[in-house]
Amino acid sequence: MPSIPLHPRASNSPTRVNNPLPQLLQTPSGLALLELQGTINIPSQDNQSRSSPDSPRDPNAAVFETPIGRLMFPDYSPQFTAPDDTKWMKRVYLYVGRYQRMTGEVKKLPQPLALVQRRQKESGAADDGEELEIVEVVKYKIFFKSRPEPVNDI
Amino acid sequence: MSTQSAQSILFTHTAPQQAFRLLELPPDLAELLSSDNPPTLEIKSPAPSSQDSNPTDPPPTDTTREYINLCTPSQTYRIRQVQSSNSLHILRPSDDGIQRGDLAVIGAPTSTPTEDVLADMNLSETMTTIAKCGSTLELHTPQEGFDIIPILEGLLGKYDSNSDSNHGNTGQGRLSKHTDRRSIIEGVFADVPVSRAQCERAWREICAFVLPDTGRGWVPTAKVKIGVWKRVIEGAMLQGIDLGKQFLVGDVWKSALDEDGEAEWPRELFEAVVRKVCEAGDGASIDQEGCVRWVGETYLEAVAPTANAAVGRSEFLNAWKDHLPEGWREDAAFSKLTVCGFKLVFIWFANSMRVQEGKHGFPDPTTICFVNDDDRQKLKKNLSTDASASTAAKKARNWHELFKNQKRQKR
Repeated sequence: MPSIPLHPRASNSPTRVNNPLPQLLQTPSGLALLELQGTINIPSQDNQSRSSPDSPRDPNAAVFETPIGRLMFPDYSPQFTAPDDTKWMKRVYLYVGRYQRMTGEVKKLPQPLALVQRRQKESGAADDGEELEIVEVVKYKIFFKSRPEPVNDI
Repeated sequence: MSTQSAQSILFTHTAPQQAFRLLELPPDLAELLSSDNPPTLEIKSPAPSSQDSNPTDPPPTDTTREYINLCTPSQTYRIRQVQSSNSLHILRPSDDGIQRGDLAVIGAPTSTPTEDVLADMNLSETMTTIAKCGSTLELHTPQEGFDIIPILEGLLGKYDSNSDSNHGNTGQGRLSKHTDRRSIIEGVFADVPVSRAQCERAWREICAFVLPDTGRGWVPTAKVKIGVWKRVIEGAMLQGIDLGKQFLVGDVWKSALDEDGEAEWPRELFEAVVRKVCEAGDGASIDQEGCVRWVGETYLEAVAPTANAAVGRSEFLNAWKDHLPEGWREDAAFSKLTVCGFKLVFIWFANSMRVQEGKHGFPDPTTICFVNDDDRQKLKKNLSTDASASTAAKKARNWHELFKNQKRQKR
């Protein structure tokens, strides 16, 4: 079996976008991890005709985003939270729709996780088998271990 | 109200999702990867038992791979996929979402309540999930190690005598279109599922060598190895080369040639054997202790490969001494043999005696034979697992463990 190379760094760094997450969760590539019990159900692509008006989609666009909810770090403030203050990590909210809220926390991973992806080949490059790369190494995750609870419209 | 003042982040789902794998990094690997110039790692799996397959066979499918290893230049980890009932989402910041959100919120004031709310919340930025993983990959190092010598040997031709290889005209034929030594070795190592350094160590260990003309690598049998070694000893003695000191491989090679300047074996094989007993480098000096053990074990493997072919102990000891340079004769002792191999030789006897007791009487209890790695593993397992498992179970007073052991014995 030929061996498959796993490159330790990403070949192309993604375009830099302002990262809204707390400093601790920010990584060079901007990637972060969110773990939750259960799944997020998204209407599948082919029943777009039935898609609700609150998920604006362009059927022609290759990539589209569906809003799910809001992430909040209620005890974190970029201005006032000291870098060594970890109290804010104890509370994270994920609002789903209007009436559901999950409470979670930011946790340090017992072992860092490497995010591995297939390396994008330049078109025209000779196809000599697949190559993988470590896009990012993540040390923290946002973890929602409890079920959503009902909340009032805020 | 803290929640009111806190910043909220729009959370979206991007379709289509991307494919990611999550790989848990043990501390040493994490450190290696965070170094300034991290090496490229390799993912290797064993060749799907293709020793006698021909090129027309269908390409191997994933199901034929028994395991997958992750290799650094010097280390190997086994990859294990661990399913999780939780879903792990990979998020990234998105500016696309902001525009879209802005459009929806600002451009369509009468749109859905959700977005009204989001607008009220002064929603500034977006994180979007681009991938969902239901499993992670864990790395571990198997306790029994990576038994690669059989794999490596399977990829090489067995060299029994010069006529055997006959420069590529055997049934095994050329396996590689390369005739350059380096690329032949590369080709072999690509199929051995461990790190480069471990491949090289195993290559040296079994005295493997490349005959460029045959386009493949070869592994000598124990008989050939001990024959070559015997020749080295004799040649060195004739030429007055002291193998206990530094010597030039070229000199020893010349000393091993016969009167016509012909050699019984290719020089590559000769060098592989000398390299095995030498510590390192080409200005050779022999690692005496390792060499004595290697000679003893190789000789035993050559003359007494199985319990049936066992040889007398004193006979063996004398022959062993004869295969060592003059000054080292006294080093030959049973305690020098690989500890586990040595002990197990006698356990092997105990077992075979039990088997044969009724019929043929006892085999000579002073004979000795070679126990190959596989049997060694089996014997070791039988011995140690039974003993250690029962003691562990006793200590733990764990009924599961206690009964598990009994079950195992019944089988």
